[in-house]
Amino acid sequence: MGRIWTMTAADLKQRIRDRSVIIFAIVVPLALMGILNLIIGGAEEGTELGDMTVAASVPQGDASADGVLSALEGIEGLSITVNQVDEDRARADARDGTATVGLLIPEGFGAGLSSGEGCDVTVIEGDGAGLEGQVLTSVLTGIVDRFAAATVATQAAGALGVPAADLQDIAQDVTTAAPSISLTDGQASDEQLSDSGALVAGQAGLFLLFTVGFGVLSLNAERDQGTLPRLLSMPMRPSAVLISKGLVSFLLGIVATTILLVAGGLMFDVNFGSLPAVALLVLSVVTAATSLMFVIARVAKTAEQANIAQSIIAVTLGVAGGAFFPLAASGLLGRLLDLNPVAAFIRGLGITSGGGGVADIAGPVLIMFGFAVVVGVISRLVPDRGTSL
Amino acid sequence: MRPVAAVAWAELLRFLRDRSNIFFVFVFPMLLVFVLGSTFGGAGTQGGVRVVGESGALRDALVAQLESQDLSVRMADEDEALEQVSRGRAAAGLILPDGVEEAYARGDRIELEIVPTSGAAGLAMRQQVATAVETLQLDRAALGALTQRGIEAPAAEAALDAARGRVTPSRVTVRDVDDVAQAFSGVGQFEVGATSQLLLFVFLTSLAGSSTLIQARREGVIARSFSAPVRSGQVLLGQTTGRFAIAMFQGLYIMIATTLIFDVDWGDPLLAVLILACFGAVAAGAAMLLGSLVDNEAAASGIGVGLGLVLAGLGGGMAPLEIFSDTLRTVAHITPHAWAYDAFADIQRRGGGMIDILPQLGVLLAMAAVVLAAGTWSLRRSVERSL
Amino acid sequence: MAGDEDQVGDTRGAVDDVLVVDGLSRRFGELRAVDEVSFRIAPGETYGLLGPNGAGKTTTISMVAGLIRADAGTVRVAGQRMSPSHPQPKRHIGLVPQDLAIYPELSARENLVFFGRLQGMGGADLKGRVQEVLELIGLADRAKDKSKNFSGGMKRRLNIGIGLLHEPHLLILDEPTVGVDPQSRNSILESVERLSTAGMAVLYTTHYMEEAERLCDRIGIIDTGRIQAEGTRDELIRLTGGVDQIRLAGTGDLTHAIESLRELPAVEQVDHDGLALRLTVHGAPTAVAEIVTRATGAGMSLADVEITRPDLESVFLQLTGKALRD
Repeated sequence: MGRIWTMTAADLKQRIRDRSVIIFAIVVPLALMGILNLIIGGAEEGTELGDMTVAASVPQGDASADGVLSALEGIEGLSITVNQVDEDRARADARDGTATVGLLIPEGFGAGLSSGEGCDVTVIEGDGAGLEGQVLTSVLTGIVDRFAAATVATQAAGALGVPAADLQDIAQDVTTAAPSISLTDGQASDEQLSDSGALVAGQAGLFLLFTVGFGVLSLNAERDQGTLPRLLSMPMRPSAVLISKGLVSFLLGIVATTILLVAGGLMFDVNFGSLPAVALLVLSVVTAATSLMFVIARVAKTAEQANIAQSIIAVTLGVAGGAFFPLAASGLLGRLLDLNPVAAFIRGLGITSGGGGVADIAGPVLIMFGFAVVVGVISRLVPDRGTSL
Repeated sequence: MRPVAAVAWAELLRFLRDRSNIFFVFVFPMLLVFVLGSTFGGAGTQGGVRVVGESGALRDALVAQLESQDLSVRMADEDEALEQVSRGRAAAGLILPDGVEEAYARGDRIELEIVPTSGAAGLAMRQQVATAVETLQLDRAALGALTQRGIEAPAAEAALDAARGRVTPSRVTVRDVDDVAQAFSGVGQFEVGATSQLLLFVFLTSLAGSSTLIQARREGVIARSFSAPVRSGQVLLGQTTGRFAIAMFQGLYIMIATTLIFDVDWGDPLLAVLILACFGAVAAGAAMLLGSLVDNEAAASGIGVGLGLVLAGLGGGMAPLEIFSDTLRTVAHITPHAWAYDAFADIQRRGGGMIDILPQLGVLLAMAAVVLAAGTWSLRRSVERSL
Repeated sequence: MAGDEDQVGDTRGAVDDVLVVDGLSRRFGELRAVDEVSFRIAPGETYGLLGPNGAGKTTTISMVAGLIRADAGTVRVAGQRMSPSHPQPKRHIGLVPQDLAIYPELSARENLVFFGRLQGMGGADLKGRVQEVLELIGLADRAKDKSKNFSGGMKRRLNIGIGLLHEPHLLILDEPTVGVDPQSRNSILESVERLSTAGMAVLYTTHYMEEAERLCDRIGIIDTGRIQAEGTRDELIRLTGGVDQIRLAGTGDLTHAIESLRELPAVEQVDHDGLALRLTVHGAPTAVAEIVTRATGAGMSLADVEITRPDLESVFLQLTGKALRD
């Protein structure tokens, strides 16, 4: 054990001295997180629906139009403010984002409804209307549809000879009908990271695949530069060299990932949740990533080949795992993508940030350790071209 | 000019013979354009709703209504729906309990369960589904209003159907005046992704290539070129031209490949190549500067890749500049990427011509002049020091 | 485990030999890289493996140092069987690989301490020994500098110093002078000579004939994986019929000088070609002093003495039909 530690310590000392590990494992990912966070920050959607403002241009004395507005204000669970303005102002407010949307109800809206000739309402979505804009559009559509349904009912009733005096009541009945279908709210466990959280987790996962290379893949470099024969001539088992390289990868991975999660969390105000659970996730993803390096180290003939193979695998797993943007695949492809340790890591952090503990992350942790075992076995089976003399 | 061409050609050959470049230069950019294009132009599966329940009139009506609201709807079993909602892959799950179809057919009051995902997307989807359900029951409300007044149901339904035929329904039309949405209206699925990747990779490939400059310096290739009967200026020019050739090669490859594979419209080809050339000149100069300032190849490729990614991220090489906040957009224009992005946007989407992109080209050329001068000066100094 | 018990039948002082290599073979696919190689090295002896590039020298050394497994045959170091999975016997060897097997980011002292720890050394013992070696290789004043900033010669010296650190019974040097400037080369050869004098057994591979002649007590000529011939330099040369010659030019009583010289045991034959005396001699370098004394004592006044020795180059050419360096 003393010799393994000696080799591990010497390796760590050298990696820190040549600074490349610091650049690749810490500086670049933090810089990228910063930049990408700035970008999504500009477009970020909050965790709650905000207050909505409707700049409405409504014809004077049109009861139906007034009905639309009062229906709008009466929607439960949403905070909607209606400002009555003229048409130009409604357009301008929508365009510059003063109002969430602009609403233009034309002259003759009520008459059109009652005559059955129809009269279209216009919704203007402007800068940053976002989700709130979509919600308002959908609500307004629902209201107008209701008025249209009332028109159909009164027309049908008229045709059937219902007295004109009752028609008003029929319209009233339709527009205010008690719902025959109601919605109850169910709850699903929250397993999602915020946008910033996903960014931090993704970049940490992606760059981990580079960081762990600084341990195991130095085997190929040592063979190229000639220090491997000397190490193998020392009075110790050859496996000691492999173990120490694995240990270097593992330690660098743990330290770098921890720094990235902590620094990223502080910089972008992300809380990843339960500390023991997050620690377990870091441990598992670093194990999975390190196991992959042993395959590369054995298959690659030179240090250069090893670095290329590593970069390719890192960016492929990183992108497929959702390091830059989530890939929303379902079915078989979705299951396949789930087996990627980067994806499992991000998912696990989603569960912990949603309040999950160690027991809740069993799935992702098993995927990562399973990955490590399978890849570890593969690394024993592939022809050894890179780490033997 | 012949020595310059010889050095430049040798640099391009070196680049092409390096097998490590096959993936990063040829395959990887296409992969990213595809993935980005699929998420950017796709149906936004993330906002979708998963409907759970046996098939029947209610489910069909709900799905039709939801789809008419421009929502992406997919069937799922309950576990899958809940998992996708938990993971944010679906905005909500709509669960139709067992027996609800019969109850609906009988006209009974029914209850559906909605499971929104956490955050605003879930709240928004909940509201959309509520609207859909409400719209769905309007027909029932109309029927109810008539039958309440003593009209037999079959007669009432016939009269309602007839009335629907007569009445022109009032509709809501949506006018989108959002700058971002307008900027991208009529843009192909892959166009924006292709521009971003072009900028990202041209710069990244150039910067990462600075390590070969260091190698050449260390192995004395540059010193030897100085000893050949050519002026030192020609050697430096050759090196610069070599970097530039690599940048142009990468850029042209992405332009041609995305045109052929993804049918990307780059606008006027001559103007597009002109923008690429100006941008490539900046990239070549930056590579010269990096290759002469840093002595260690590993550090140079580390800094090169890091800087290449960060500048690209800031300058619209990862996400469209249009979604940036105003301040950030201003900041973004310290990068050459942002200027080239604007120029491409002008000719691709805004139908701009030579006159429209002159300012951007001017800025790019000025940037190129500065980094090329600094890079050449610094390289000359480092070679002279080592001689 | 063939060959495990065959120490009894040895003819040369087997018990004392630091290294006993017996019937060592190794294939790489179809290529027989090393084919039934056997040799021994006694304490204080320097044994040279002389052969061209690709002859099997490095593969032999890799098996001797326990880096790779042998397909057949055994290696014993200080009586212990060497194999990649047996760490114990490796304590007795110090390997100096052909490449510069040092860590550029570590200082000279850090490199020495690192490999010393791997050898199982520690504490004051390691500290003291590191200082000794630093002085021995002349890097004591640069001990704290990163080795990447060293000159080529300094790196070579550090490379050898690491092999000496734990005072092994057997020092293995694999082509230590390849690509080294003449001055550094001489200093390397001198230090090997010093070590040998101090009682260390040395296994030295080279394709430089001059180095083998200068350093090695015995030489194995290796080509296409086989030891083609083995012995002292003189034995090898005699094997191929070559002899040393000394030419004495001068005036005076030549007849008396011829008679006197013929009495010497090292002198086989003396001819007179009119201008000078031509002697056929065993071991010309050691015998020349006495020959000169005798000749002048017998009344000859010497104008010129010239020694001509057949070299290993010609031996190699004769044994393998090809030149040593190509």
